[in-house]
Amino acid sequence: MTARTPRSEETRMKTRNPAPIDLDALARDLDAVRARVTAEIGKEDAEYIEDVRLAARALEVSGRLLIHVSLDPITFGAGVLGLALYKILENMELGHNVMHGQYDFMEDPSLDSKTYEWDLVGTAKTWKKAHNVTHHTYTNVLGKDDDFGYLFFRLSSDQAWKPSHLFQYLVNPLSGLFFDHAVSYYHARPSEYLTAPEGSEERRSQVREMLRDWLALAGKSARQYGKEYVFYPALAGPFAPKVALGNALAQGIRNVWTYAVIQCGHLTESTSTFTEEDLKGETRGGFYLRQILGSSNIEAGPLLGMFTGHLSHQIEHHLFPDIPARRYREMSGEVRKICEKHGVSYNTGTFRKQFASVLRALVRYSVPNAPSDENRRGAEIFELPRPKAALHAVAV
Amino acid sequence: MLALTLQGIGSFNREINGLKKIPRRLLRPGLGQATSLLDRATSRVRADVPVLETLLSRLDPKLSLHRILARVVEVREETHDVKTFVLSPNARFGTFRPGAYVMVGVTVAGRVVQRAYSLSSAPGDDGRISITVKRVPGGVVSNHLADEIRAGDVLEIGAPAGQFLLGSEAPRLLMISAGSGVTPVMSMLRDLVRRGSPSKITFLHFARTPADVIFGRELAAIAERMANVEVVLCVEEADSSWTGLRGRFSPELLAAAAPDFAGAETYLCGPPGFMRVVMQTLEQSGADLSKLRYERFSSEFDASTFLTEARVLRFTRSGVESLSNRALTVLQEAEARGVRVDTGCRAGTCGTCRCKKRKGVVLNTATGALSGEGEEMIYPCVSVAQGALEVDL
Repeated sequence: MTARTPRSEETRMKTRNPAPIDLDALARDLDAVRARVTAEIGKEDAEYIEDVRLAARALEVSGRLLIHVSLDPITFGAGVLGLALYKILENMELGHNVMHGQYDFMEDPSLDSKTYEWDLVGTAKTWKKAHNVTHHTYTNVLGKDDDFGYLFFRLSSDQAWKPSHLFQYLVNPLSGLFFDHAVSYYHARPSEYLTAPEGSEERRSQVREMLRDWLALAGKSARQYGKEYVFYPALAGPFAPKVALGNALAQGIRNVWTYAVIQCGHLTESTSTFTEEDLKGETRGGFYLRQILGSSNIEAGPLLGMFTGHLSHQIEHHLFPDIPARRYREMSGEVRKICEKHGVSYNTGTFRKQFASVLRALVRYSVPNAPSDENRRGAEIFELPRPKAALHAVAV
Repeated sequence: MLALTLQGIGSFNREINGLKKIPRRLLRPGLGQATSLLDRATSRVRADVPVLETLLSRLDPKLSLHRILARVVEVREETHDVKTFVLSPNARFGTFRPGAYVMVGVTVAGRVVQRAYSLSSAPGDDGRISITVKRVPGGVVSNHLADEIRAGDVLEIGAPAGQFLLGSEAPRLLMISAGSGVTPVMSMLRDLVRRGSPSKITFLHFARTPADVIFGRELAAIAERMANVEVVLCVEEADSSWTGLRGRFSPELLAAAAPDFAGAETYLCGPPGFMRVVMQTLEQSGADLSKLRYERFSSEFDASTFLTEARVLRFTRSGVESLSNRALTVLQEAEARGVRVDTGCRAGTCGTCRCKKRKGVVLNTATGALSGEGEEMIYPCVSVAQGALEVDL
């Protein structure tokens, strides 16, 4: 099953550019798109996100109400769906994007990246650090970007194989059921905090910070559990188990959906990987190139796009993480043209195609002797220059 | 109803929080804990206020739980550079006294910018209010209002405020204004006329040319209709068709227009230079200054006078530093460096931009007074640094 070369890799090989890529020109072209769109950001975007929040809240209220009053499976199912859609909108289109600072321009304290807290078991604070700083800076850099496999799944032959990978194609979809917990907790592990040598003053302050974050995480999780499995069920009196079940189902649907969308963003077979070595001397153009090669899009219309938090346009999101996500659709045409101009492949496909690709990758790399994939080493495809001066661009 | 409930919860919370000030021994055990629990319980409701705001604004852009929003019902051209905006505010506006001003916010390039404008209409008026705005060259808000705002648009405004208000009935009233300073006194005159006040009123207004006279036609109509109101218009430049007075304000002119000015209740509003001259005249001719009320509406200051050597301005909150010898107020300096400051009147009156100065001396251009060196509150819009300065902006 690993002998078959997927079509997307053929495309990648064809688009290999014999002439060295002009990274500065790439950066200029993309910066021009950024500047044009940035100038247009304003009232429309503000009203859009306010409407999304309103719709999300309406879905939540109606979902909870339907679950509460339901006596038949259809009403109950409708309530579960409403609540799930609310959670999806809140986490993806609101939470994720607001916390990227996309709507900071509004100067609205209720939509401010610094103060926004989302409806998830984890805290905004630790997620922002792991996501905005680590993931968006070190996108697809093996060993640096934990989102590439979440420390558990092997998605490149350049990652070391462990026996636990043998059944990863079964474990991975199941893990989707608990995606909220994975997202919330995996970056709060001690190694993320304790970097200073033991016994030093810095180490002690790192320990203190870790404990503070853990306490906040525990508090947030307790409140979330309390809300979904104690408070709302209790309101229904004898029907409490029904409400608890409905809430659990809604969160399960949200988890599986966000899991599926997010896996498609970086883990398809044709996204490229990078090494820490590649970061040395990375210019702005090099950073942009890595973001394009490391991301994959899902073809989605406006409505589906909204329910992915516009992560359907993962490439545009990684290029311009702080531009309101609803703009990615209109930007994608230009970004695609720029990619063609510079001979950079632009990885997109239907949701089915991309998700199937992720599952194939999980199968392929589950065995230790999977074929080596130089095709996926971004730096080798483009023979990137590596000057000695190690000044790499950092995502803003 | 919902708004009332929310407000009720808010004020109940505040009151309970206020109880914390009562000495501890008087507090029943656990009350503090109850307060924080209540705070928790209401936080969800408070978090929904922005969402409800969105809902209300989508139903009708004028609706709001806590903001005063006003629909522009009419835009009238008063002169070539002055427009009157007739506004229909929502129920949260309440009522006002003639002479009051409101803050008007507009969104320019995604950011809300506010300025204070006197209401030019009189109370009553079917709940409608008016502001009359003159274009200020380079002015962000006045030009935005003039160019972008049309009937049907919705503006966010503040509650009516100010100290320059029409006092109680007086037998003799003198109103002196120049340029767009006419707006608050026009509000007063309209109110007096509407109420059929028996006071003897002299309305003295100065403008550059006849074309610059705001409310000219209405003033003429009032003068004709009301025996107790005399309107005296004076312009600097005019052709032969002008029937009013010519020239600038002078003691002689005042004596001619209102010989009994010394005992009159006087309302004065206009540019700073004009007001200075009028006040000097009143003072020198022994008028009863306790009967004078006035309002400043622009901070016109000759920056070059205060130009000293280069100085370091540090904006502590935004972490911005500016090394400058420019003749700018602290506010202008902050804005030039991209530090965001909420402003209102920009003339040292409204207090919107008030902030804490950590150290350094500033000159208040409105009062001419020098500050101390230590911590104190200053108005950045009328403060010019006299050396190194640190402010909490």
